[in-house]
Amino acid sequence: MFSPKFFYFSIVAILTIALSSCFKNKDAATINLNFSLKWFGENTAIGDTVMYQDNLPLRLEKFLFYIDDISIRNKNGNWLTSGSIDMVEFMPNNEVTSAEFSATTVRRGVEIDAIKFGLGVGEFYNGLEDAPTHFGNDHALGSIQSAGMYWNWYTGYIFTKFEGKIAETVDGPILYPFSFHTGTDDLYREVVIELENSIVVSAEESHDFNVVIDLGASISTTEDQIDLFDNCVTHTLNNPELAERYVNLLDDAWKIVE
Amino acid sequence: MRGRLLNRVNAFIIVSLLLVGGCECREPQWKATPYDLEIPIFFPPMDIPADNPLTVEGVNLGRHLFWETALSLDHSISCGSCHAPDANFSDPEQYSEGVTGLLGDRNASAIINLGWSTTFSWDGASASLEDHIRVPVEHPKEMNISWEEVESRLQNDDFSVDYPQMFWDAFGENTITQDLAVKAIAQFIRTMISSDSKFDKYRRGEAVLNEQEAMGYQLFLREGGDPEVTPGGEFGADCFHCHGEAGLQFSDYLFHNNGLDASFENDPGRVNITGWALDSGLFKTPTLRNVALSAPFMHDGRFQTLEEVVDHYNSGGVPSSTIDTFMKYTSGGLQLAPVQKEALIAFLHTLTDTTYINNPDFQNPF
Repeated sequence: MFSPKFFYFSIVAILTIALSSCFKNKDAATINLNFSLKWFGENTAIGDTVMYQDNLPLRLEKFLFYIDDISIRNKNGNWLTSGSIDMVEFMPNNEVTSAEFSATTVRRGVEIDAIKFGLGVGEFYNGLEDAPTHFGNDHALGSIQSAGMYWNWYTGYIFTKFEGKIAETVDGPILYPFSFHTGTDDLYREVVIELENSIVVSAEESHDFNVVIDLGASISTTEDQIDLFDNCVTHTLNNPELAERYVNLLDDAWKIVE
Repeated sequence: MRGRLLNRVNAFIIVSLLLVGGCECREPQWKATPYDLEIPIFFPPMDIPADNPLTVEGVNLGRHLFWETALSLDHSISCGSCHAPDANFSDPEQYSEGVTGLLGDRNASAIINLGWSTTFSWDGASASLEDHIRVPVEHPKEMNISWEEVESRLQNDDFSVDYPQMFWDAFGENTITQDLAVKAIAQFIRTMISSDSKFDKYRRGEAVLNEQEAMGYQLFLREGGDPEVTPGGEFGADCFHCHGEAGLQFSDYLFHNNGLDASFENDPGRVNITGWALDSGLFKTPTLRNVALSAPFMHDGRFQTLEEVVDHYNSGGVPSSTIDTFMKYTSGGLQLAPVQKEALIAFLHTLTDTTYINNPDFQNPF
């Protein structure tokens, strides 16, 4: 005769083996950061022509950056880190560009009041010799995903790129180029965005935040103004002062909108 | 007693099911030999599609198909006709002549280290090597034949090799299809790796660049222009932005407008694929590996020599709405002196790898 106990135990064992892989990351909490662009407060997109200074047409041609270790802060002031690294690139079709925080350390009902991420690539990965070859091709730091964002002799990755062209006169052709490429460990910045209202993040839940980057504020605020005609190029080592001014402005150009 | 026996039988059946569950029930009758692809030092890993792993039999079939003239309407040309070994597997003519005598629209670019490329053709029309290989066969200005006809020929016609057997050896399939032919050619092309130039040896510590080559290398790596007139200039040649040496491929595999023309009516380039105005006049950055063997240059093969190419960049290029911000068109160009241009070209020659173009594994097997 069959032993029912043994039979049921066997069935449970088989089901456990078969289904165990389905429950990986079941506790992960996910936070999506959906990025969009503004130019001095107005919605914009790559490829748009905006106005600079005295109504000089300026075309936005490229903006991309590495976003490192998205973290959330609980009400005790502790940061829960994700260890993530992504590249965020804006395309002319104005699609929302996203990066994701996913952490299994978040338990049910964690109240958070701030989000933080690094602007660039952390010192460890940035300092690896021939860094892209250490990563698979699907990885943001791998050779394919980092195409155009790694310079060997700069000992690391390009953290951010912002490029475009300006017309030198109101009716003139939009041809005067500007190009800001930042990198090196010194110019790694942490962007901290305080939430207006704290929210409760739970395991197995997903939350979306709309993050706005004001490219106008990345070159001009009440604290500092970069004249794009006098200071049109920095690829960091060829003009470190300008690169530092730029990343310091960019650091403050982020805001979460409801 | 009987109950214990049944329990043992029951246990035996369950354990057997667990052990056997993951195995194929049928004994496979076909088995190809995995191809041991050696990735050179300092190179990144190569992405190989999961549905097209490299096998010795597949690569061998791909090589034969690459050189097979039955892939053209009148049996006159093969892939290798426009991708000649001596020319770095490119076409030394500005435009390639198809079977009908019509000329192509762009220069046939070099086949070298394409296993690391992420886009294919000058405007990136194909996102995979397999997709790209499908195109020339049916293109009216190239081989001008339907894939159905190619399949029929390979299946039924007499050849010096037994294609049905070779397809069976490679894929375990009796029926020859476009998909399998494309996969085989892609396998072959992924084995076409160059990693033995003087510069490779220099990176491996096996060779030393001479004074002129080293000077050219430094120019290659430095920002272009005189800082007095070019913001950020470092008196360099500014090659690295698009032809960076990361992964030793000397291409960012991205798309740029390098200032060849003021307008793009003749060939709009990348915009045809994306529809984005910002992509007008943009073309894919080619690798510089074996560039000294790859003339003519640019998407339309307009330059015959490296000297012409360097002169173009030295001039700063022709301004246009989408010209790359790296071009020095607002400040009179790079302003390299003749001795600097010669040094830069000397460095470019260190990227020549004759063992690649002479590799017997890549030559015409017929």
